[in-house]
Amino acid sequence: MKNIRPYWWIAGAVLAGAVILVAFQFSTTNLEYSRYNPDWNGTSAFFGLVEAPHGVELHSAAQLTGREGSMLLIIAPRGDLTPDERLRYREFLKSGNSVRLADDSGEGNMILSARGSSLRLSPGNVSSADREYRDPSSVDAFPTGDEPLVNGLHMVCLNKPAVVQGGSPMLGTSILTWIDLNGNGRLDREEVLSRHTMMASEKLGNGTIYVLADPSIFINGMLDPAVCEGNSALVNRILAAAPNGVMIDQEHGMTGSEDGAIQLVNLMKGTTLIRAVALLLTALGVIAVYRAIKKRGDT
Amino acid sequence: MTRALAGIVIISALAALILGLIALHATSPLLYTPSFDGSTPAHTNPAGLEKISNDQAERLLPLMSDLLESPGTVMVNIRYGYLDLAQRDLDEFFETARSLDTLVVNLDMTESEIEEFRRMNRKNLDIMTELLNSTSRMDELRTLEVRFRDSNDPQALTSITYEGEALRKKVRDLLTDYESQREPMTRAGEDLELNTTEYQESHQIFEEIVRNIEEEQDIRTRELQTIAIPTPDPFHISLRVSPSVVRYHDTLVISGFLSGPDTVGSEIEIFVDSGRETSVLTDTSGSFSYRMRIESVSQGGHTVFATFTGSTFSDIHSFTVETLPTTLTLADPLPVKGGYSISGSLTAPDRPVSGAGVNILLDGKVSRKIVTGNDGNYQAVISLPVGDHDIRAVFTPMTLPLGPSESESRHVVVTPEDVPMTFPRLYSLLFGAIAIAVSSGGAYLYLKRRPGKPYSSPFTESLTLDGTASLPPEDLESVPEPIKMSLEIRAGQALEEYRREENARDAARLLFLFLRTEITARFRLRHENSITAREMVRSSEGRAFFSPLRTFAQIYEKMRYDREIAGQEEKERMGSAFSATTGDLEGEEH
Repeated sequence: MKNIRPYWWIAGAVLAGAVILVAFQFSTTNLEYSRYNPDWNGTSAFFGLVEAPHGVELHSAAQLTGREGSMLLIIAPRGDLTPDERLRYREFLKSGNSVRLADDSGEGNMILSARGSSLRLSPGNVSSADREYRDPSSVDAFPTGDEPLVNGLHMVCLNKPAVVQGGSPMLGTSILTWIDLNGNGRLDREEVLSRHTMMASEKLGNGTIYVLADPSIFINGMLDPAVCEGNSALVNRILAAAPNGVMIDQEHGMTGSEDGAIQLVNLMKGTTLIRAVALLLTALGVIAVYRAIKKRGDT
Repeated sequence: MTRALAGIVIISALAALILGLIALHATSPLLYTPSFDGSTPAHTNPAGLEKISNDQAERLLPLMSDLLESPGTVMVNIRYGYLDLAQRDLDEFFETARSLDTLVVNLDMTESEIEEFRRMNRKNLDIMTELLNSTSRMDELRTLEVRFRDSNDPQALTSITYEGEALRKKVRDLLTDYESQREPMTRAGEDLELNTTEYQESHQIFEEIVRNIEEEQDIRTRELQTIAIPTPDPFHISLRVSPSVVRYHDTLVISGFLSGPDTVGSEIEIFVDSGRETSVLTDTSGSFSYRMRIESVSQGGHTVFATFTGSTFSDIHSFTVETLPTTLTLADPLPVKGGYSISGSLTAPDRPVSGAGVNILLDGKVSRKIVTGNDGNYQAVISLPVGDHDIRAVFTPMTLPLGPSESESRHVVVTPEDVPMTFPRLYSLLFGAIAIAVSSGGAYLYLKRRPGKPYSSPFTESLTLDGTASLPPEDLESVPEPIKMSLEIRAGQALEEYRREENARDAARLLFLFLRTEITARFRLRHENSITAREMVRSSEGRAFFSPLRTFAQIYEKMRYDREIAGQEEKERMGSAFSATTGDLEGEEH
C-alpha cells in the first residue's frame, strides 16, 4: 500500500470524481415534466414535496382498487387508457375518490371522456395582459368560485396554458385575455378579449374530477416563482386535499418519463435479483481497479 | 529539459488559445442565460423572462370605465352653464385619455378592440372640446346680444344671429358624430364588462344641449326680424361655395359678388364655422374669390358666410368634408452610418399626405415621430440595439380628414457587428486588451525565471566550472574586451568604482551585482537576475569562497537595508570581504 506513489492516488481520486460525475449525469434527464429532471422543466422539486403527505407513485391501475378518500393526480397525461384501466379509473371515482388532471396539450381529453366527464381541454395560444412576465403566454389566473382548493389564493401564474371547457369554474383569467390566433404575441383586431376558465371541477358519482389547464405549475421553474406565491400554495393544497394521500400517475403522466440510463437504474432498483448482481459486479469492479492501481504503483 | 520546455510551450499555447477565445467574447460576455434555451412547446423558463409590473393591466379597465363616464360629466356642466367646471372636467378627460393612449402602446394593444375603444374615445374627446368651444361662444354671443340690443345696433345683432346660426349647425353635426359612436362604444364597453349607463345617459344630455341651443337661436332669429329696424342697405353680397363635398387637399372655392355703389376694392370678410377665415378684396366688377385648401378641417359639415363692413351679410352656405383612406408604406430598414434608415410614404388616393406625423413603432413602442415631406415621403435614421426587432409605421390623423393607416411590420435582426462602436464597448475592448497584455507580460516574466533558460553571460560559453576555456581561440578573440580580462583585474576595477561612489547603498549594490554575475555564471545558478545575496551564499555552501561571501552578504544587507547610512569603516569592511571573495573565487577557478 505504502508503495503506491502519490500520483497514482491523485489519478485514482480524479477517476473517482469522474465516475461520480458520470453517475450523476446518467441519473438525471432533461425530459419534460420528468421527476428525474432537476432542471427548470422537470418535476424533481415537486416529487420532493410529494413524499411529505405520504404520496405514492402509481405504476399500475391495479393500485387504484380498494382506495377510498384518495386522490389520483395525472400531470401532463399521454396516451389512451386500456379497457381494464378505464374500468378501474371509473370505479376509483365512483368510490368517492378524486382525480386531478393537469394538461395543456389536449391529450387529457381521452382520459376525461374515458371517465365519463364532460370537461374538455382546448389547447390554444392563451395570452393575457394580466401577467407577471414580459411574455403574453405567462397568464395570471384568479379564483372564481368558493371551492376550498382555490379560495383565498391571490392568483396563480400559468405558463402557456390551455382552456378548460365545461364544469364549475374554479380558476379563471381576467377579461384582458385572448387567444392569440396568429401567434404574434399581440392582441389583434380579430382576437377577442374574454375570460377563460383555467381550472374546473365536475362531480362524477361520489367522486370529483378536477381539470387544470396547465401542468406547468408543477415544474421546478414554476413551482415557487418569486413573483407568484399562489403556485406553491395551490400545489400544497392539491397534495393535502385527499385525507388518504395522493397518488401520482407515473404510467399515464409525463412525470414518469425516463430515458436510457435512468430506465436501466429503475429496472435494477425494481428487481431484487438484478440489484444483487449489480452490487456484486460493482464490488468486484472496485476491487479490480484497486488491484490494478496497486500493481502499477508497485512497479 | 527539452520535455519540460515542450510542456511549457504547450501549456502556454493552450493558455493563449483560451485567452483568445475569451477575447472573442470580451465585448459580449453572455455565454449562457436562462433565456438562451429557456423555451419548450409546453412552457417558457420563467427565470429567463423579464419580470414586469402588472399595474398597467390593472389600471386599464378602471381607466376605460372613467373614460366612459367623462363625456357625461362634461356635458352636465355645459347644460347647467358651468363652463369653467366643464373645462376642468374636459382637462381631466384629456389627461385620462392620454393615459389610455400610453397604456395601449405599453400593453402592445395597438391593433386590438382596446385600440378601437381608444380611437372612439379620442373622437369623443374632440367632440366634447368642440361642444365646449361652441357653447362658450354661444355664451359670449348671448352677452353681446344684450349689449347690441341696448345700443340698438341692428347690424351687430345680425352678425350675431348669423354666427349663432353657424354654431347651431355645428353642434347639430357634433351630436350626429357623437350618436354615430354610441353603438360601437357601448358594445366595446359591455364586451369588457364595463358599466355603460352613464355613457348612454350622456347622449340624452347632449340632445338636450343641442335642443336648447336651437331654441335659443330660433328666438334670436325671430327677435332679429322684429327688433332690428330695417335700414336701407345699399349693398348686397351673393355667395357661392363649390364643390359642396370636398376631401383632403381639395380646393374649396368661395366666391361672390358685392353689389352696390363703389364696390371696387372693398374688403370682404369670409367666415368658416363662425370663425374668421380670411378677407379678400373685390375686383373692378365687385367680384371676389377665395380658394381654400382643405387640410386641417375636420370631417363633416361646415358653414360659410361673408360680410362687408360688418353690416352686410351673405346667406349662410355649407360644404361637407369627407374622410379619405390613407396608405402607409415602410421600406425594409437599411443599415447606414449611425443606425438604420427608416423610410416610406403616406398617401391618400391620388395624392400624397404632406406635413403629417408618422409614428415609428419599435417592438410595439413609439420610437420616433417623423413628419412627411411635400411628396408624402418620410425618412429618418434610428439606432437599434442588438437583437430581433419588429418595426412598424403608424399614422393617426389628428385633425386631418384622413383615415388612420399602418404599414406592414418589418423584421430586423441586429448583430453585435452591426452596432457602431460605442464608448462602453470600446472601453471593454480596451480593458480586455490590457488584461491580455498584462497576463502575457506576467507569463513572460514567469517563464524567464523558469529553470533551464540558458544564461546569456559571456562566461557561460567561455568558461567552465574548472576555469577551462571551452571556446576555440578564434571565438575567444571575438569576445568583448572586458570579458577577456582576468577576474582580479575586473574585481579591482569594480572596487575602485565602489570606492568612488559616494552613496554607500549604491556602492554596495555595485559589488553585489559584480559578484552575482560572476558566481551565477560560473556555477550555472538559476535566477541569475533575481537571486538574492542570501540565496547566493546558500548556493555556495562548501566552496572556498563561502566564508568571505557570507561576510560580504551580511555587510551588504546591513548597508543596503539598515535605516542608518553605513560609515566609511563599514564600507572598508565590505570592500575587504569583496576582495576576499573574489580572491577565493579566482582560486577556485584555477
